[in-house]
Amino acid sequence: MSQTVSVSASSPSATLVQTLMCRVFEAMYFYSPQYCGSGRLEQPVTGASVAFAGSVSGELRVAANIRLVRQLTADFLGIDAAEVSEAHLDATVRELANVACCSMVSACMPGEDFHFSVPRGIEDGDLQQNLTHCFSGDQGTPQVGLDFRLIHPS
Amino acid sequence: MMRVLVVDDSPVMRTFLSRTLGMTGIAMSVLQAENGKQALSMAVEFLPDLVLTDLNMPEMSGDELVMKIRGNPELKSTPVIVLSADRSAGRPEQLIHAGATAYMTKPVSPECLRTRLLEVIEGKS
Repeated sequence: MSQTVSVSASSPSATLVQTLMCRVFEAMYFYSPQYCGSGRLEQPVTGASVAFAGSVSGELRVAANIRLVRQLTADFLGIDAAEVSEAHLDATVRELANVACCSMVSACMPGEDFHFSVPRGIEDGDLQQNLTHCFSGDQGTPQVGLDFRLIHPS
Repeated sequence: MMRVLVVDDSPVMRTFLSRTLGMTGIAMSVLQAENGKQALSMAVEFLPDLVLTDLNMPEMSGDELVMKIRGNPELKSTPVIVLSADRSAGRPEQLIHAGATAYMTKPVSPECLRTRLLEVIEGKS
């Protein structure tokens, strides 16, 4: 039996999330968003999650506005946004979840060994909720965000 | 012409890696596989000069692919670069011990990837 809890004191602070995710966005997508705390993303969105297991287990969920994902994909591949396919959009948000989860877990629990799941897509109905850590572009509206949850054995 | 096998379950990563390989200035043909299982059968058939693989994939993981390659007499000296977001303690050492030539962590810029690829390619030649 287990209980899911939102991560707070012992897990990623806003500063840590901001630092790690900005590094990921800039290294992979040449994108420099602003951290804007919790919020609801501009719709429509797409999302993915990655589970991890080790001394603690949990899941990281990432969601992003589809227009942004299209642009990130185009910038990553060096192609025009109009050339980006639906499969590309799905793959980009899954890869973002994968890199974000691995970076976050190793930063929060350095020196520990974890197993990470293959990224999976998030159903539309689960993408309407507020996310704990969001980032905005030039317009100030949250465009991409994530939630990080630990599952403590009871 | 050099033959390089790119292995990743993400079509976006396969395209990115293939493009980055194309920017090394070395004449090469790039083969793509979606997972370790598909990669192994392609490697046996095409005998690549370099394998660039993800770690966490369905069907067969990068760990298992490295071990299978090292266990195959025709492939055992083929350089294998593992590119993964997994930064768990000891993971690079595990992969190197299993036979990987190099372990790189994501996120990685095209410049860093290109530099490391050239080091491994030149080291081989």
